Amino acid sequence: MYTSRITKACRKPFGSRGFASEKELRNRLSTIKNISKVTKAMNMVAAAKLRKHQDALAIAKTFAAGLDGLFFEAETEKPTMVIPFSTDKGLCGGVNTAVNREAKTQMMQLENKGEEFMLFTYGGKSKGNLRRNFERKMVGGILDCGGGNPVTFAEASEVAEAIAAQDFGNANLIFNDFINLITYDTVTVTIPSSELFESQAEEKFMAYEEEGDEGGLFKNFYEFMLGVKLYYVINNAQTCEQSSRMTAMDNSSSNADEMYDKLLLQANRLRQAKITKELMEITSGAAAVQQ
Amino acid sequence: FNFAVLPKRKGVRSMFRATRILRRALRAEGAAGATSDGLLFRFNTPSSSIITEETVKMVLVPAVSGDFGILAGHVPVIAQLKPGVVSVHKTDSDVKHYFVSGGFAVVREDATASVTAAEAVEVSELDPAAVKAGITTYTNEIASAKTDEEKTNAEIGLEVHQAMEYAISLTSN
Repeated sequence: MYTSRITKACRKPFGSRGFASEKELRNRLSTIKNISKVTKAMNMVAAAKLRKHQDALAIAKTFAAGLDGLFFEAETEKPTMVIPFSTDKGLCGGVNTAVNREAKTQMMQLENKGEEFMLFTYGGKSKGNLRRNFERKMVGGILDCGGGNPVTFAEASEVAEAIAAQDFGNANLIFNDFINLITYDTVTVTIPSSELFESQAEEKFMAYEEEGDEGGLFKNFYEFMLGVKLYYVINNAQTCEQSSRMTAMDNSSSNADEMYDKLLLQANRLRQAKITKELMEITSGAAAVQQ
Repeated sequence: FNFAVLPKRKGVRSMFRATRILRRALRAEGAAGATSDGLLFRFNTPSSSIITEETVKMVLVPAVSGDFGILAGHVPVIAQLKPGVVSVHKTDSDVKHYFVSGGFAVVREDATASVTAAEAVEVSELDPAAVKAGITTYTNEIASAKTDEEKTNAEIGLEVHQAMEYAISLTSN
């Protein structure tokens, strides 16, 4: 026979019954009420931000449409760079899990095929999650991007610069594609590296006239296109973050409210039982004294 | 954006260029996507979708190698743009002038065209006084620049303001 260790926190006060005492229930009730307030506030903030992000995303999508389909997957033996787009902050539902899971799947497939790959993380949640198994493959990453507002073209261009500076063959951009308030799709877009784009562009764009700095056109074109594409990708990821956080906080608020109602009922019953017990004691005591 | 200018690569490049010139001589007018009513055109910036998708008559774009016009059935082009005016001729009478800071104009093989610019404003919205002040400021900055980077940035500023001044004069007539 062994006795289980009861920590100080949950040790029941002397004289209490098997279930929680009234005081504990009251504490729990106030905690749940606070949580409910916080999640409701986060829900409202996310809803307001979502509006802003959706508008920015619509413009970004049209912006990127002009240059869509001009990137090509380069033929190369060089390593593939996996770039998952995640958030910095948490409490945002399943967006990061979805992206990280897809990144892991791709990296394991590459490993099984014996192909070289590297990892470049966007956002703290990918960095933290994928570090456990893929730290040695990490070549860099981006943190603290956006600052709560939709990403600007200048910021997206800086991210483009950081990615283009890496030495890789093709890169897989893994992000969530916003469909509507409750739905998003985890997609992968493959782009070549700057070097490979320039060396293979002549051939791929043979039918095109070139108007630009002799020799520099395709490099500039690549940089611009990557900035444009990332502007769309990051705006998309950020919109999904807000919609997912809104849904998650909405669910949490409902759960908290439900829990609060149940516990309130329990607390009231407990209180009434106590009063009834006292009344009965007084009544039977008075009856005994009368005799 | 600081665009790099790489040294010319001979050999393979000149072969491709010759091939393109030959093809241009052989190419017939009218590719798949060109309609008889005009050119399918897109004109967008990161901050606004100026033209999502419209059929226009002609577009004039300021490429680094010289201004050129795009009509329906134009050969495929990838053109880097310098700060200047994009003129959208929807019809012969409906013409709008936009000043762009830079970007790319692409005419695809299906003969749709797009201008993707970092920033674009209607020339009528440019403030002539502010432009003049900018020219003075940047001219001074070039003179007083200490590092190569400062000088280049000031030169870019001057080029953009001079282009704006030219754009205002062009469209005020």
